[in-house]
Amino acid sequence: MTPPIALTALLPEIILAVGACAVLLLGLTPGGRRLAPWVTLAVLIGSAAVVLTQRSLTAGGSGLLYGSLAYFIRIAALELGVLITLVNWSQAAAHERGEFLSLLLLSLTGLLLVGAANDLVMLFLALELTSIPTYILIVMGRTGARGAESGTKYFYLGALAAAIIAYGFSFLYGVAGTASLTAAVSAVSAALQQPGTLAYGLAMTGVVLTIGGLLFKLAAAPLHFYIADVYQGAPSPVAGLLGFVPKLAGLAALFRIVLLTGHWSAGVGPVFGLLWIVAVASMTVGNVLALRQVSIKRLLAYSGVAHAGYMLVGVLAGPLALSAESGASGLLGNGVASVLYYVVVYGIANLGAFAVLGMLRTRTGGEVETLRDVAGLLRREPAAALLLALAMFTLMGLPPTPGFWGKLGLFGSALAAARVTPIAEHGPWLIALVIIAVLNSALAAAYYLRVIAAVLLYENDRPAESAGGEAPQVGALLCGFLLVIFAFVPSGLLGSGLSATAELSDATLAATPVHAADRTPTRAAPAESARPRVFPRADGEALAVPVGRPALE
Amino acid sequence: MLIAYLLVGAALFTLGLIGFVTRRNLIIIFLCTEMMFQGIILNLVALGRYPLASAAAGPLDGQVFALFLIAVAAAEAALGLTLVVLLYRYGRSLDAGTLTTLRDP
Repeated sequence: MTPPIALTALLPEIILAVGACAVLLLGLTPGGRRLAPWVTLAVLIGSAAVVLTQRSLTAGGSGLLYGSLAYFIRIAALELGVLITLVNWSQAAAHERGEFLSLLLLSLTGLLLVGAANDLVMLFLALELTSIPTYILIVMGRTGARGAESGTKYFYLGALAAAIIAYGFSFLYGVAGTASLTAAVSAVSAALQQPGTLAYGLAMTGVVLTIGGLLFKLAAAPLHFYIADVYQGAPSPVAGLLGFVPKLAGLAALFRIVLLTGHWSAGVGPVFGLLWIVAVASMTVGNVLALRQVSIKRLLAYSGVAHAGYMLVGVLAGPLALSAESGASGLLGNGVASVLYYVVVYGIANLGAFAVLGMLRTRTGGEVETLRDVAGLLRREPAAALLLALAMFTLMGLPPTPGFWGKLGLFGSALAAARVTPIAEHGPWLIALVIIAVLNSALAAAYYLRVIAAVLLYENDRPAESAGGEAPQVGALLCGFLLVIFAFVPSGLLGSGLSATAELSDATLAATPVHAADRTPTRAAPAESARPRVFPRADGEALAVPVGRPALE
Repeated sequence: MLIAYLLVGAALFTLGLIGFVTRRNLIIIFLCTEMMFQGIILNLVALGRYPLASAAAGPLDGQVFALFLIAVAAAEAALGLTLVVLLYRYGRSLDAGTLTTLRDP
């Protein structure tokens, strides 16, 4: 039983939750409804201000752990939350606006809690708090039967994923005997090194199920099949949200689980093989399916599957490559920092693209969806056309855009990690993975360029035109502005990504002091010598625990 | 003793999963996810009651998790039934096979 956490540490989440209730009540009156989006914005900015004042906060307890990773996720979630609010300003019907914005705030509250969760129960509840409001947001966005179908599909598969994650958590709890993730690291990673025991079987089942369920949140293959239907049926601004909120939540949870298995510190367990296959499958399946699409929403959905694959490359590389051994520095040596950078950039670019789609209408008043609808946009709506092109270039990873820096970090860190123990055991596989990822990025350019060509080069006698209020336009412009800023001043976000992973690297090093000690500049680390280094730790761990635990001799 | 409970939990979970994949009626599919949750809850309670020899002593975590899961499952049930009612109003059908407006060309 951990001592309770100070309520002041939770203040940003409390502000969001109280704000959600206030916005819900404001939705009851016509005057309040006009005020609701402004209050939502104020709540998000107020919460972000509190986070900034608590910059160096480190607190733990009650299943939460506030450190550098939680700080990064809080800032990223609140920053994107402001953009999402602007883009969704008048998305819901007037009489439902209070509920809509209230659910948006609740989902962001869940995302903040996922970043801080340090306990299986808390992590599961936070993931559910993030997901459940998004099912409703899809249905509420004024798209009628299509929205209902999309929301229902998302809900059913989300419930299945939640069940799979919870089943995995139950096994992890069983192996560790406690729900606290910090306390579970030694038990779970030790169990994964003793094949043949019951604990090994349970830990293996738990890890595989949990990661499988989290892949659903990331929309990685083979659990990606729902995503295109969901994006297509959801209103465009809500689809922009779906590219960021569940992905960041899934990644934050994945970091905790991978840390639990000891993959980054000891290189053991099922994580490498599982994530390697999923990464390759996601990139390839996502890109190939995206090539066939005429609907831009479906195209962006499948491109999101491919991007989940790229992010997994960084997860595999882990936070540890940054060391004297590999000679790599900064982002190029740190897979997790690259993932954090990439998910924010991807979230902004994806939101920007959907914001542009959302603020346009075809001549018949329908929703802009296909390539034909956006053809010739440059002549009619030059700002929207350029924003859409910028978002596509970023997703493609063209050199000056932040998408390029992100991919450089992901692939560079994987190459660096291929030379660092303990992951070096899988070195050739990591290098193969990077080659596949680079080929996939080239393949992806084909469909992004089709959108860009349609927008900038083609003619259309009936081009789409702008409709709707000013707030979504401001939101879309801000997305574009941030992409330009990150392109030319990438150091700010990169730096915060790097400091966010200090916590994970520290935890990894703390779990295996052996590795930290024998990090010598001679980087020849054959696989055979990496193995025995791990076992003494597991035994020492077992001997150190006093209660009900026989020495493993 | 633990193994017997784990096997029953796994059986409940697997039956739920099979039902989720094979059944067509949206309400039955939802009941299948409920069955999966029951399997998980049994798993948690059993692992809390009969801890592994190597596990640390954190006696109540599993039971607490089980209670929270019941609450989450109830919240999901409320939302699921709402969506089913909404979908029925639009399409007059609860057959998952009719949800084909959105699909790959």
